Amino acid sequence: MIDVRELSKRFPTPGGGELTAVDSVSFTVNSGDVYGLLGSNGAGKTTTLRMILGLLKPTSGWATIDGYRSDEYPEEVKRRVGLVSANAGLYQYLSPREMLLFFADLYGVPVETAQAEFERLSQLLGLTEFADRACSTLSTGQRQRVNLARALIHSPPVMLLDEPTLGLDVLGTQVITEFIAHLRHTGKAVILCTHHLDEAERICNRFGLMHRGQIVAEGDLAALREQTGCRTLIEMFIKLSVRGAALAGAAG
Amino acid sequence: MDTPGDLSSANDRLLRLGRLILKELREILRDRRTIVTLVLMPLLMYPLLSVAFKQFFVSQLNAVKTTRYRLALDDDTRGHYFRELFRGVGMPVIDAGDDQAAAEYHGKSPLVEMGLQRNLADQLLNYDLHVALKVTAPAEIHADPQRNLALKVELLYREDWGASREAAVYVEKYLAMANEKFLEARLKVLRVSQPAAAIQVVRQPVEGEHSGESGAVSITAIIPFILILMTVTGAVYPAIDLTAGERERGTLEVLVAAPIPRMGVLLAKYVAVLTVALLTATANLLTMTVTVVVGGFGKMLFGETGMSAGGIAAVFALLLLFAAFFSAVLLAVTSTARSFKEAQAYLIPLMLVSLAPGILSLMPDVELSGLLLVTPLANIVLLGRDLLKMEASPFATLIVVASTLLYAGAAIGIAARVFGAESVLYSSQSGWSDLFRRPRVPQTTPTVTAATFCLACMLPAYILLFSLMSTWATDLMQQQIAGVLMTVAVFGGIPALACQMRGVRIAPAFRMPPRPLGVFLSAMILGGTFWVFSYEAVQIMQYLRGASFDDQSLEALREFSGKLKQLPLPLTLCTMALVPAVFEESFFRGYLFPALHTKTTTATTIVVSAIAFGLFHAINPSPLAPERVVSTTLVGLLLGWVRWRTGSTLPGILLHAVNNALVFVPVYFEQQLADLGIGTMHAQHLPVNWIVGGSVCVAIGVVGMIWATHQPPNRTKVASSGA
Repeated sequence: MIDVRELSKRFPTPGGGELTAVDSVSFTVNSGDVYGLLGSNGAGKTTTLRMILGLLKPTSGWATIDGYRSDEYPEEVKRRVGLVSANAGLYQYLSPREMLLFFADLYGVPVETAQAEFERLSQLLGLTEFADRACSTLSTGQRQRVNLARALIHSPPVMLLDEPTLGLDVLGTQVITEFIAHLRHTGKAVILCTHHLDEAERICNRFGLMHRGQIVAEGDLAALREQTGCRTLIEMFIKLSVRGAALAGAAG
Repeated sequence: MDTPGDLSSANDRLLRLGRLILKELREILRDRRTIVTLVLMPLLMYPLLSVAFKQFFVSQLNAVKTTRYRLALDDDTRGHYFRELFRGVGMPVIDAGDDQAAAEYHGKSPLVEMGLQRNLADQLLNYDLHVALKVTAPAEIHADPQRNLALKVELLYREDWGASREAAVYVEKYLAMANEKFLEARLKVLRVSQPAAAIQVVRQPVEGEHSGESGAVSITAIIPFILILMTVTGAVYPAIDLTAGERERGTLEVLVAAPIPRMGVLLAKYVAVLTVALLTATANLLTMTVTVVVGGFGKMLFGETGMSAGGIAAVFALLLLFAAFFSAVLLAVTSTARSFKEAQAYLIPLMLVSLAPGILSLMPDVELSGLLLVTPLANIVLLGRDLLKMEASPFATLIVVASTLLYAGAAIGIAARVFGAESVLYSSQSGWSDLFRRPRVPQTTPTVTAATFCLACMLPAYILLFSLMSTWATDLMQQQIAGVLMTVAVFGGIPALACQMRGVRIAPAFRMPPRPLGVFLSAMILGGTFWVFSYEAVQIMQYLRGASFDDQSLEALREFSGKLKQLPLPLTLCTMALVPAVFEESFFRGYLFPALHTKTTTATTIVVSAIAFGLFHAINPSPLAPERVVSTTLVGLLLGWVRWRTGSTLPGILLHAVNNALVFVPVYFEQQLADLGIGTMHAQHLPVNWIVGGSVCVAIGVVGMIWATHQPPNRTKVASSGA
């Protein structure tokens, strides 16, 4: 479903030089996979997601969703993707119902289907009690649930989740995490970027560890353990920050 | 697999765009800050302003009462007579310059200072006099009621100067009293009941060269200035909120992640900002109109005619035009900001820069001419002032509208480039200066944005240089040289600079694929005969406009051709035919044409480039400007068609040069043509056989061109590159 090949992104810097944010990244995510794209801040995770979605143009390489290259058919790609990011906001003067139906319309979902989907998501994510209140009055947890519903309103086969639980309390995090696990069972291809490594370990079935724009270790948890010599993702993460790209050869 | 909805239908896309606009409006109109700007501001501001105005006028009136009216005659004897006449009916009169008498006067009525001046009209124009009396039917001046008087007097004053108008009314009142007194006495003497003639007064306004007021600011210009300020105020908040505000709140990323083109998102935001700006303008215009009507300021602000519905409608159209321009500017600026505060920081200098020409336009006696015609905001304020006073000229209106539309187009182009650009949206790694970085790969075709931007720079440059040329070049030779320099700088320099900045190669526009001689032959035939249509277009337009060459225009034309004949013919051909042909074609068909062709159909490209060509030829503020637009647009259509058929600018240059040459060459052979019975100075329709002959030749040229290019190079859109 998601195919990323040799994807690179270099940004010009004020001095006339270049900064490599993503460097030859390759991986695939199939339907029913939850792929954990993990790494420290500035590792290139968000830039990778933006290139996959067609928001940023790759300097080299390409990414496809359902066979469509994001740099050539961004609209076809966007139709198939739901994006949730930590800093995604809501329209403060619209209610969750108005906002979700508006986004459904942008994605070309017929009104009746959109309303039925809204009701279904409201039940699943517990939006009913505040569905008609202005978004500016919602709590952080409620906002993030609305955001998740907004990303799902057009029933996309691919979900890109960038720190979806950032800033949420334990209960809020629990709701979102359970829902991501639910997405896996509905056959969606999900890429999850998170710093909650314990949760990632629980809900992701494959991982890519990023460091300075490169994927330094990739595979399921067993493969990562073999590659890094570490037992948990937290250990791997700490080791990664110390040894960087040499992490993959740590087991040897 | 889930299957998201199909977005392929163009109609659906349009409807979706409409709903996107509605969403933007719903979001912005639910914000109470918008409501404050939209409703409360005008409701509070205009009544307050009306109070301020009233105070201002009352203070002005008081000031006038405590000062003296200066009245003069041009004859000492008559001056003495009128002084006594006025004193006889109780007018407080002193001799001019008698400060002691003035200081001793403590009455409530205005004090009239009477003196002797030789040139009364000039003194009035220089504000040295408020009012003057001129005896037009001299009679024996006397105060004897035994005899008739029959003195005819003109009361000279300035209609455009409030104090002068007041003085005229004041003096007229005392003259009427004097009249009545004389009549009464004469009737008593004659013991007759029939009326007798004494002094017949005719009010005679003296038209100043400028129609401005004598005060510190032009009161009439304040109205459009305030309306424009309020329109700007209305647009600022939505522009910030829908761009930088959305980015700060994190809603912009999810919006651009939806499957709608970024241009569609921008367009929706643009329409939303424009709508709020227009709603603000409407609210302000309505409140202002009600305030003026209720407060009775109509005549005070707009002269004798007061405020007309036509004037208000025209001002609203002007506000729409301005809002279209400024909304795009605001979006271009606020799109570069990462937060609400940053956007505000960018807008403050913009507003200050914008206000400067607006404030300049408030100065009295400022005319809408020269560079002010193309100075953003100032031109709108001045045109608004002239529209409200029903004094706007069609030429000035045309230039202001055309230049503002161009600026709006350029601003929208920049906004489209800025909005949603990587370097602006995800700016942690790069700055928005990247937007202006030269592309690494050389481009063969300029963009529509670059072409619009060029046009927006060229128009003021052309007008500025035209004004400079008019003052600097005194004789025809200097004018020829200046004209060449201006043409090269505007039509060559600016596009060349744009090409340099954007890495666009110029050569492809001029590349000529192997073509038979027929192309050039046809171009020559067309250039040599198409003037028949241009000439008749001028005549028809004059007929439709109800205008014609007057004697003065014909005399000016004769004078010009007389001077032209003194210059060598090759020089005239070079400066007035060849140079304009090369440089105007290089821009309109070499640069603008391919840029437009990348985004529009061939027909649209030809029409738009021809209209731009026509408008530039109307900049010369001659009485023939509207006719010139039509005739040169016709030539532009032909040149555009030739450019498309041939894929090159060169045949157009030849056609253009021949067409231009035929305007001037006959002047050199006036006598020989006259011997053949052909006049060169008659402003009448051509003989029918000329029109028929010309039409046949044009048809031959068109057919020849089609035949010579029957397999035009790259008839698809790529043809625009001239390849």
